[in-house]
Amino acid sequence: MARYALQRILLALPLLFGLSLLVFFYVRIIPGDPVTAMLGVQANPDLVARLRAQYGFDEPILDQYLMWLGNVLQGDFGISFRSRQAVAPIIVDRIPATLQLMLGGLFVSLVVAIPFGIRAGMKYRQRSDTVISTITLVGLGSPGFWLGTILMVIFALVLKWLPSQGYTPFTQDPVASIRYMILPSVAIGLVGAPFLVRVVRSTVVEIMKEPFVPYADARGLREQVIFWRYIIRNLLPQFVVVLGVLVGALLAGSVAIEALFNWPGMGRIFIGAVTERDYAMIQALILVYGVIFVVINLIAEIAQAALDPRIRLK
Amino acid sequence: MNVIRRLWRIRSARVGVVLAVLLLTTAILGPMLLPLDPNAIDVRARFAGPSTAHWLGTDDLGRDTFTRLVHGSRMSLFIAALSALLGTLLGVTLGVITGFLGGWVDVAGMRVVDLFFAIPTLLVAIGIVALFGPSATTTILALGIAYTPLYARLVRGTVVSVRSRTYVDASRVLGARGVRLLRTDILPGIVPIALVQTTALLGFALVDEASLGFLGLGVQPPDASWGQMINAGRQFIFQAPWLTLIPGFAVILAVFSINLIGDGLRDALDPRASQRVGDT
Repeated sequence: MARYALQRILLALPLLFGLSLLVFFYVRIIPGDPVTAMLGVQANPDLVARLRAQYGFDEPILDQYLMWLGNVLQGDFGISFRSRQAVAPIIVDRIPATLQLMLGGLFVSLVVAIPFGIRAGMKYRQRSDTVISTITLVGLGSPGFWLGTILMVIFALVLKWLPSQGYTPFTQDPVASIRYMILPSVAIGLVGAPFLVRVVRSTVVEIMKEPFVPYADARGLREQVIFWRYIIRNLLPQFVVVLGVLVGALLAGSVAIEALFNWPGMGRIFIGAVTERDYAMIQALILVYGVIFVVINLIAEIAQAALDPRIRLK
Repeated sequence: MNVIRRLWRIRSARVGVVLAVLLLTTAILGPMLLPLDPNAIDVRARFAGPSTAHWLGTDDLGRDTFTRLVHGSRMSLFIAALSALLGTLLGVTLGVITGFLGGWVDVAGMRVVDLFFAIPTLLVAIGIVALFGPSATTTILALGIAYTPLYARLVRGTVVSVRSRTYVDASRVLGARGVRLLRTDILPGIVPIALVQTTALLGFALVDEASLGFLGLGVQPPDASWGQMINAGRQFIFQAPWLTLIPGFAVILAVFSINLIGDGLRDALDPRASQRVGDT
């Protein structure tokens, strides 16, 4: 198991290296050059030259990359094109809020999707499957921010049960923090849920076709025993890997949800940076999003192998 | 033809096709038939509720919501279609080249694809919008490029498996090489998967266009698209909730119809799986 985990981690390293290359060259393919993009074409040529030198755009490209990578590995992600402040501390401040939203969304997705997915899979092509699958198809087309808007109107403005926008750190006031996170978490969780329902359903359908299920049935095991010992046990490993993919969808969805609920996560500064063309910030954020995604998928893969010996022994 | 007939036999797919035809007709003919200008401002009629003059009411500038919705449907469907097409072209090209040539081209191509997998699709798209500035054209470009990696990986996998089928070997023995082998044997083999995948992309693109529009990174005002309308209506959610709700319903309806068709296509193309709605 440890060997498998180590092997997975080593395989992720080139990916992270490639990601750093991608993000590095991202800023270099800007039409024109980043400093002109930042200051506008009428900028003072002296200032442009000075900033170019300051950001290192005049050095050979390999030197630039090595210098940049060295800095990144030491936690220095460069200086914002706009505020002229270091980018890293600004992002680090925002990570907890985004992760909290992810966890909330993941929780909602799971709670909604698992029971319905299993139900639909076990009642394959029967009435409850048709109902669940149709609702799922409608859900797949519902943008999260739109669901969020509706939730906000109903629960915050009409019923006044929950605050409409804002954030309190969990460490400061857990109760208030959870009250703030309910609506955005539900909104983002409902984006992931339909996708998850479909995966759980088709996995359960596949498992039901495995020879051990009719065999267990033939042995006279009770339906409940079959359910827990065979269906759930085989669903779990498949499921963990899907979680990795789900997190990607939730990360992407979080950008709009954060904007809607005024949630101070990475998505807020991402949109700000894109509107202001703050490429240093965009670059750093894409890298951080990518690393979070890669690491979560890595954990999912290792967890899958831990749950399913067939995978690590293959 | 056989596929279309089989698709039509699936009830849910039939519903999807009818909905899609209705939406397409609205998007194509609607703007020509409606008397009002989608950008005509009438400050005296701000936030009017539904009436005979304004079927779905008006927005903050007194513009007719129904007219904007219809014009917006043209924009949104156009963007979705072109970005799905771009994603398909790029994905199929990349997938066929890597899968067919194999060797270092395959390894290099797939490593690049892997990289993009490390970043969620919408974030790739937003990154591309940041390079070119928000507009309808950028939205198409950004979404098309963002969908390419997944598509390329899928096509590559299919090409690799088709390449080793016996009928391809037979063709080789008969002397088919290169482009000819590709055209007569390999490409027909990936058509079913490409059809299903492109249909799926249409659905993704509609939701993603709405997301970009919502974030102010898509179609720019005064032009209407569904995403742009949701974004514009958001500020007035208490005064005029329909400004947000209606374009949202339009997105859901369109994606629902596309997914019904997509699921139907999958079944129609795969005779072994006689399954219905909602299979992954």
